[in-house]
Amino acid sequence: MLSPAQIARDQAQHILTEYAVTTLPVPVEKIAKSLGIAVRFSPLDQELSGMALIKDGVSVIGVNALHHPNRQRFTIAHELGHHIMHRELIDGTVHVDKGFTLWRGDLATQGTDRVEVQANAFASELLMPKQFISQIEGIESLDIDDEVGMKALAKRFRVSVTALQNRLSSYI
Amino acid sequence: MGFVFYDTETTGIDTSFDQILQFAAIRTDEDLNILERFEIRSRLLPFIVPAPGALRVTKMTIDRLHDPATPSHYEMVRAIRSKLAEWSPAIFLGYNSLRFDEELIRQAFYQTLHNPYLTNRDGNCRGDVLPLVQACTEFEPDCVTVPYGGNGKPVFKLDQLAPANGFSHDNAHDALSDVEATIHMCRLVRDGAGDLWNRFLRFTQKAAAAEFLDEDEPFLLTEFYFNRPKHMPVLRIGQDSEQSNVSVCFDLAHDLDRFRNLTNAQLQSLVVSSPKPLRKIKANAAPTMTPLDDVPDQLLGDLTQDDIVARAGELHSDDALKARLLAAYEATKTVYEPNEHVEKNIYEGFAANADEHLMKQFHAMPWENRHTLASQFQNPKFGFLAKRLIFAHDPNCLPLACQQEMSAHIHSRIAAPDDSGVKWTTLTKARSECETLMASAAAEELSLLQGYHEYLTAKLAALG
Repeated sequence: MLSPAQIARDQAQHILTEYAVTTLPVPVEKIAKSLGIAVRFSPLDQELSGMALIKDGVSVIGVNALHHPNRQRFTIAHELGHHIMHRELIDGTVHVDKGFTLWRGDLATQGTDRVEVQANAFASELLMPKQFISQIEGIESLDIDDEVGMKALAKRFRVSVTALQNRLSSYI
Repeated sequence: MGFVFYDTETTGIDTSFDQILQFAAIRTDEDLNILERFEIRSRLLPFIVPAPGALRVTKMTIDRLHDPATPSHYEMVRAIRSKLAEWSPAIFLGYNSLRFDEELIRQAFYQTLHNPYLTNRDGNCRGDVLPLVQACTEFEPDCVTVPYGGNGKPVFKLDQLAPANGFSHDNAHDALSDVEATIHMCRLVRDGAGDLWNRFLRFTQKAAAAEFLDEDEPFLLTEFYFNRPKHMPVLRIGQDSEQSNVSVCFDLAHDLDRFRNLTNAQLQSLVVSSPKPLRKIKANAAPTMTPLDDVPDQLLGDLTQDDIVARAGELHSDDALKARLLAAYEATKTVYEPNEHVEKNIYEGFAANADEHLMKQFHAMPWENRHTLASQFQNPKFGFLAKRLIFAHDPNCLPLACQQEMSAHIHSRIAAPDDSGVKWTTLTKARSECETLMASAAAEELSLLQGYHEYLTAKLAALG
């Protein structure tokens, strides 16, 4: 049986295939728009990364305009994951994400850790697909604490160094 | 978090040589609901002469500018910094702010020995509502009502635009009222042109604008010149060699073949001829950029989206042409000569760490001791500004030689000869302008102007 995270990664791979993504960086905002999801930027409180909602049939991803674009890209990918995998949870309600290690909201006690794990796995695979990760030179012996090397690599994927380190630690 | 809207009322329209007399700001949440207001005024600095026209517009009498109950300029600046830091990080917005108010605020910070860049550092973002409203008239023409002047041209002045769009602007040119009018215009754009508002917010962040520019894809750049729109499909070809936040873009309305097979001299001549094929875009100035997919067809001009994409692809793959265009840009860009006036040196490099440290010490010291730091700054411009600040507070806090130096400086400012061609308002220029305005002033303005005229006359007499 597939784990929830693996299901999410498969979903991300499906999207990458559907949009014929063959180069970096992955155009996450364009993908969201192609799926009919509006990406909206707002100056949210610092600890809020973004939100996902469907109101009157309109799908929206909210992004903190004050965050760095790399972090915004991860937010969009994360919220896109909610739209694709957890529509029933966000239909008619605002799903607010405070960072991505914590979950804040009315559904906190209803097993939502699972959906956050899935959204993170989806975002990670979408922005840093395994087929691109595997092509990194010397991937087997990569030092994820090498700040300069990680920065250069993160730039190619247009993600934060932290997101890349998380991805690589699970890959390696 | 949220927005900070701000506005200034000033002694004139020169962003280097005039001063802020009133600063107002309103903090809102991300939905533009007002959370807090802030307003402060300042007394007149001794080396500045207000333009009579500015006093007439703001209805500020010369007596009010000398009222001891009003904070000094230094006290005002310290209060502004404290409040804006408390409200950060946020998106800072004003109306025509990037060219005017923000420059005045930067000057105020710089001249009082602070880092000038508060609104675009430490997580803050910045934008300007004037180009937003102008773009709105192109992208969503029904969203905003634009009044027309007697010459048949659109008017984007806030005191006319806001009332035409349902805002009761009885106190126009009062800073706080102008801030409220700006928020009103933003609400209209947000509600009637959501996609434009969204792009605007996104590109208030320098890093987000830079990333978009870096995508190597064509997009539409919208700019206004004398209130006339210009839409240019462009592709980034590189960056300015000295300013990392300035991207150089090629206007794809131009046929690439015209630029090939030219000598360097011919190419340089072509890039400066109008309409200019190269456009400078500052990532830190909230440029109005639209992905091609979101551009209404009527704004693309004679080209179709496919034409633009094809031309962009052709240019993108022609590294030699891009390099030559960039070289032509570098060879023809304006070179600014060093300026003798301290205000004009604001952008000549960042303060060294040691100087920043001294500035902090300066603000923490009693006034009578501050002069001891003036000679310690690595960059002499900060030492000069330190002495001028102390003099403005109390000349007696300076040694006699410094007092004389500052007195001479102030005299050279306010009493510069009429034929010296200086940019700032002098006593004689102000008196002359006062007389012109008084000749046609309405009754309620006349007393203000007369009072100012008497002040100028007395001041000139005192100077001999």
